[in-house]
Amino acid sequence: MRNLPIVATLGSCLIALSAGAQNGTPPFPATLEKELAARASNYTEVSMDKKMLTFAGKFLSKDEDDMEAKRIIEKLDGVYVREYDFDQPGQYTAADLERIRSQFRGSEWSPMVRERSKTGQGDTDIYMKIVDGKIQGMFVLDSESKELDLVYIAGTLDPSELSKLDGNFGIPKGVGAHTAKDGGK
Amino acid sequence: MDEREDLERLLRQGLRPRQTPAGFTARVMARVPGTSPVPSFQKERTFWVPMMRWATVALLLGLAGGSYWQHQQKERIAGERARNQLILALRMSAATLNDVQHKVLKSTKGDSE
Repeated sequence: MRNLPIVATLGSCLIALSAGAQNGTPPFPATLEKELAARASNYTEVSMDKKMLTFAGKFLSKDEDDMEAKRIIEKLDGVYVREYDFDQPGQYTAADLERIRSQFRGSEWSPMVRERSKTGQGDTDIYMKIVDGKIQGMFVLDSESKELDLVYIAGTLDPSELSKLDGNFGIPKGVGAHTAKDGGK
Repeated sequence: MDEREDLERLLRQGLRPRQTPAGFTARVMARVPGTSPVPSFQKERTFWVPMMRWATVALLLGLAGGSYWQHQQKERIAGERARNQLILALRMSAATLNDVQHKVLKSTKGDSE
């Protein structure tokens, strides 16, 4: 009985964490993010939850690209991007990457692309979250010797809509279609 | 003669000076348009009170308008920032996807060769 408050607190923390994950909170380990940012010579972190996406959507112009982006973000719950540039190789370890990948080990996540380099400094991963046959999220990890990129897109992703990203915002034609093809496998 | 005396008496009674009731003059003057007995300080009040009211209303409207404009400006700046952030996120996602595509294509090509 004495431990009841501790158990209750832990329980509520777990509930809050799971609610956060459902709301599209970035699944990247926060401490690791800080460590990587400290090691990086240059880093960019963009976190946009549903609220921010809706707000930003209101300020998109009426030109074709912006309207397309508006349609795409309507179904998204969040877009989280991390880009770390390092001065020299070896600033992140295979264990660091494994810590990030471990966030996408649930039964709903399926690895679509998995490439491993011998040096461990050129790995590529694409994970898709598929629920009831629908893509509900996508995670991309792209590592090079001096660069580490992480992209997590939460929400309902339609492969045909992904292909609509082609050519928008500097996205080369074919990227969406390729991902959609992989997702359909 | 009696009739004459009676008439005289009645006339005297009717025309004898009487004390006016209290406030009679003020009541009569108040009914005469444009001649109400308004003191000068009251005249000033009738001018300044509505002026002050209008000034207060104008000031409040100005404050409300200013505050609304400031809020709109802040929201517009925050919205522009959010839009730029969104475009940056989409650009970075696109660049990462592009890199991944190149890597996958390169390795697939390498495997087939």
